[in-house]
Amino acid sequence: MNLLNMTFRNVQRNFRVYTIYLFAMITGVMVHFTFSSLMYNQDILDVLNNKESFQTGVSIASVVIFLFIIFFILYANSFFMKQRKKEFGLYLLLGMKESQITRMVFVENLLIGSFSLVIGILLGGLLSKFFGMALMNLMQYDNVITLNFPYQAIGSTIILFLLLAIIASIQSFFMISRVQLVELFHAKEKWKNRYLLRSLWQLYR
Amino acid sequence: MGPSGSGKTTLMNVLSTIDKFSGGEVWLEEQALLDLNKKALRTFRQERMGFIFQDYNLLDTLTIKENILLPLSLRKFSSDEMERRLRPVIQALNIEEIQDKYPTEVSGGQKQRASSARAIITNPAIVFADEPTGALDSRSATQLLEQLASLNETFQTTILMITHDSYAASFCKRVIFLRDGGIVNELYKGDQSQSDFFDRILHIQSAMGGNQR
Repeated sequence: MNLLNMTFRNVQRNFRVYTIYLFAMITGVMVHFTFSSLMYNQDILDVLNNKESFQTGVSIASVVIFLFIIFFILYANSFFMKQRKKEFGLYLLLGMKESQITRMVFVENLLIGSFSLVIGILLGGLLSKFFGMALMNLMQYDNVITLNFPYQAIGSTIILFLLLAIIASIQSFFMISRVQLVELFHAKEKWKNRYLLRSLWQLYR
Repeated sequence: MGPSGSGKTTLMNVLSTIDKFSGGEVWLEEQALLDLNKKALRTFRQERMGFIFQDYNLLDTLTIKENILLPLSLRKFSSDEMERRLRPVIQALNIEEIQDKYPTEVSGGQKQRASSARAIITNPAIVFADEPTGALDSRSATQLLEQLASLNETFQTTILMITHDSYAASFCKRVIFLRDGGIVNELYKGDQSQSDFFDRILHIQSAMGGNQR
């Protein structure tokens, strides 16, 4: 059994532990895609006179949203890594290098990332249709907004989330480097500071 | 062995090089471990040391067999070689029939036997065991201790066990008593029966003040 096999096994068998992280990723993709597909939606662009200012407005909003998503996902990732501290400690004790573990975590991130991209884009497409309809309604146009998935929106979402997977892996690398082997011998991990996620997690269990 | 706070775990962390210390030396197989750099130390730990933890530290994502073989697969052993090494170990520990189950499906005693198998499969020079029976009921504990003793015989591996339980200590060949960070007494089993040895350990303990848990 090699590293890649183990990675797949981790994602497969550990789905419960991954759910919170996955949920964060899907929400992120969904929200981001909703906005970027509004920006490129042909039906909306057709009826607007002032396309440029509409696109600038929405793109500023989507940058702000993306910043929030980054914090959200880094938070979820650090929680997730803390959960797995012992697992990483064990790998280190058995002679795995920090870089190998990071590679494993990166592949895991890519797996989770692509899964949440598919789900998130589908949900985001739906959501953007409703947002588009609401927008048209507010601006008192009566055009119909079709459900569509502009390729520019898909492209930008994929690029941004690849970036996010890289950022999360860098964060994981620093967390893995800080793992103290001594902690392996402490029975039962102590929880601290993560009240919100902790209570969510307890509810979930 | 020794009471809480006597420095047992710290001693083991230091001996097994997973904690740093400010003075003294650790020698294993004629190698001063302090002289090794981080990379050499990692290899040394991987090849010459085994670990058994109080709460097993098995990976829930892998089967018992994969858990036991993990140290070997990380070192890229061939699967033939892994099978060849697996057989005697799981036979000695009597976990053959649970090898394809996941850790969540087996009992605490079986988990601890699996983690002992994982520690011994690399054929290490020394196995460090921190309170291996701490989370087990007395029947599984006795079974585990008997099996560790027989592993020690058959594989000629030194096992350094930390415990505060005199009964667990009576399975050992040599018992060192710690208190407040220092060695206060030492016993060798020699040719005595286990129950005589147990009595002597109890005697030393009560002489030391007897405020053990």
